[in-house]
Amino acid sequence: MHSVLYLVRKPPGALANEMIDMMLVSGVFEQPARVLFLDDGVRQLAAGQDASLVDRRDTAKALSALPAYDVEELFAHAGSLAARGIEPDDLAVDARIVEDEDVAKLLHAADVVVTD
Amino acid sequence: MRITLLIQGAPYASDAPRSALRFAQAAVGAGHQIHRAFFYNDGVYIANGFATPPGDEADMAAQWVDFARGHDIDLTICVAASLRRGIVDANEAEQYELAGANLRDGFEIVGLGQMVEGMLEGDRTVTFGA
Repeated sequence: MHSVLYLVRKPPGALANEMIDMMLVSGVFEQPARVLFLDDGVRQLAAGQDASLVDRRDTAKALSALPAYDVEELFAHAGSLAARGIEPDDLAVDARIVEDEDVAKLLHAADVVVTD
Repeated sequence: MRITLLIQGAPYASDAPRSALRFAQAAVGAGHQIHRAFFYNDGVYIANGFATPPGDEADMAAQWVDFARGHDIDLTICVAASLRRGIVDANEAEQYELAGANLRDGFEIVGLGQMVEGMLEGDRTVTFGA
């Protein structure tokens, strides 16, 4: 079965939530799926978001549903977090912190890469 | 090679549908098979049958439908993304008591599972983002 890497580079918002819906469906189909947060995508992981202030669905809350759908391997790029002042130990969702070289490895390891 | 396309950019706000169509034409020309194009996010606007671009502009939707008919390609749009953006077929128009249906001929409204299935069945998946 083809494995998929969801490469998330966009900040929280309506489009982000549609991408998370696709991740959940991958889980339903028992497709091996990983998620890598890169660039502004790491903002989706930041703790202390209050989506209700802008009448949005809560992206971090949607992400936290992933493990229940067997999408358990979430990765956050260390450099992207640092560039945005987000502390790696202050994420709303459990994600493994990865370095530049790990990003290349994750991309190579996946059969399919879906970007947002 | 069997290729699945995921197209997420809107027809007039992005180049995604145009780039994807050119890619599909080149892939078919090189002997590959495109078995499904799945439009998601703002990409679903391609299937708005009420869109009437001026005569001197390319009609992306018409080009996609022509190409897909000639090469047995499923043109599919996501039901949740479409409802959110007001692209509906006759059944949905009735179910949600809307003023009318506007799904363009040649497109089919499907669930997200069809995209994941396409990913699993195809040899390659190519994404055209917003």
